[in-house]
Amino acid sequence: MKATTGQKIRTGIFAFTGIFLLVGAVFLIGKSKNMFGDTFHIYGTFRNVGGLQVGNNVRFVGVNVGTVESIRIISDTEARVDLILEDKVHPYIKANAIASIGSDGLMGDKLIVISASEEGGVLIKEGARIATNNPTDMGEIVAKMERVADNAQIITAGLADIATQVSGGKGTLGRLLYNDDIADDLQGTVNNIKKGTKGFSENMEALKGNFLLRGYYRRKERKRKEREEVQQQQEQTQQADDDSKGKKKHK
Amino acid sequence: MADASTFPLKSIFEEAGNQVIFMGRFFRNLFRWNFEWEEFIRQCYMIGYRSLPLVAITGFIIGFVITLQSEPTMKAFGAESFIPKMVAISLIREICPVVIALICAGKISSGIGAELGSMQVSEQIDAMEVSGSNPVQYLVVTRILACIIMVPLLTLIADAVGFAGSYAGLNLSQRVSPILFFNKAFNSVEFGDLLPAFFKTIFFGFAIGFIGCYKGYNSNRGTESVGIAANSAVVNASLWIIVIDGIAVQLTNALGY
Repeated sequence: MKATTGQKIRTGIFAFTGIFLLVGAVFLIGKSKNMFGDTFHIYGTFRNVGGLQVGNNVRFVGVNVGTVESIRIISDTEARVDLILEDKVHPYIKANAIASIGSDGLMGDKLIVISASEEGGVLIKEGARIATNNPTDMGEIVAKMERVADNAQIITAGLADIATQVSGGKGTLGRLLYNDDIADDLQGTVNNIKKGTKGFSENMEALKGNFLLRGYYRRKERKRKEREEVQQQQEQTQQADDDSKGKKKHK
Repeated sequence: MADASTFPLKSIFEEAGNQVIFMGRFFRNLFRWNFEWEEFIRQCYMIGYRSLPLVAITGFIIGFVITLQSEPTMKAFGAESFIPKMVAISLIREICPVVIALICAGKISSGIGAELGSMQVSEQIDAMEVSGSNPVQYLVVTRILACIIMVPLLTLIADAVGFAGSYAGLNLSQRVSPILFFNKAFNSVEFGDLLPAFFKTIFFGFAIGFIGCYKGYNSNRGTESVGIAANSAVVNASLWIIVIDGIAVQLTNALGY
């Protein structure tokens, strides 16, 4: 049985649609992996890549500008990460830029973040090595946290010991807080001071009336009155001057 | 019949041997000069174009449903932005190839089995042999080749329509621009996702066409054998698809994709 022209056309359109989708998908995937278009390469070495994988994004000022091309171990402590970047961002990436390994959100993939260290500087060359900032190892953080926890344990044990002694009324602070004798002694001392000062003021009043010291207190009183009179005169003079100046201005 | 029930292993090997012989006939006739282009294009139309509505609707609903089903769980983890990525990878890698292949097994393999079975019953295939034309080249090669080419294309179309369904599903609960959705979807897909799945569908297409042709071509002369041929074609093709899928997953894992 022969195929009709209509069948042939429809089959052709169908086949072209399928092939177009395949080519389109290949192109889109290739584009996202920087397989088409101009690119340049740089690399960096890391002590710990933290699960970074080939194909992960490279980000510069928050924009995806490339991908991780390859990762290989070059020594017992370092891995080399080759990056492929879009050529259009080449003029912005300087030789003093720093690459670090970041994460795309809490659950996201690992990625390389390139950050410019400062303004100016020469452009990075094709195939050049970029400075890297190694990610903090979770093991190190845990070890530090363990040391902090040990110290905290010692401190809290000491504090607990002090608190026990204080609450038991031992030591200066404990006796101060929990011993009533000290409070009673302090109360007696304050009462004695009050009595002493009252007696002292009575003695002073009696001295003022004594004929040996009466002259001294009268001279003192006179000098005080003289000072007050001089002060009053100065104030009056000042007032008169101000009034005369005010009248001149009005004229 | 008694032999078959007494020695089921023997009948299994006999069936396997017949299938290998039939496959050999297919490959021998594949490279003969006078290829039946007209019949091949007609089969492409029947197998590919005529299956398009079924495949498109299936693909759209698969994308739509996967998005709706996964959305609450992803939302609970605060990972809604991963839905396009998850849907794209699951559709391209596994769901669309297998589901579309199973649907094609139901539609195409049974159709081929019934068509060739009825031709066998009505002795048309014998008549072709007697008249000097090559029934394998005319009936079998064209159908299997059409399946090999059309099933991958149908799967690609289902992938694309599935993306549209997923986008529609996501937009029921939130506003996502199509550019953002397709950017997220395609940025996460790699050649390691697309190409193994594409090559897998070629083998699915071969299984669908080959089993349909084998069951139809080798059916008995009784009237009921048409139904049996169609039925066993669907069952065997579906089984083959699942087995090929299992092998393909192991292969792609072994190759590091």
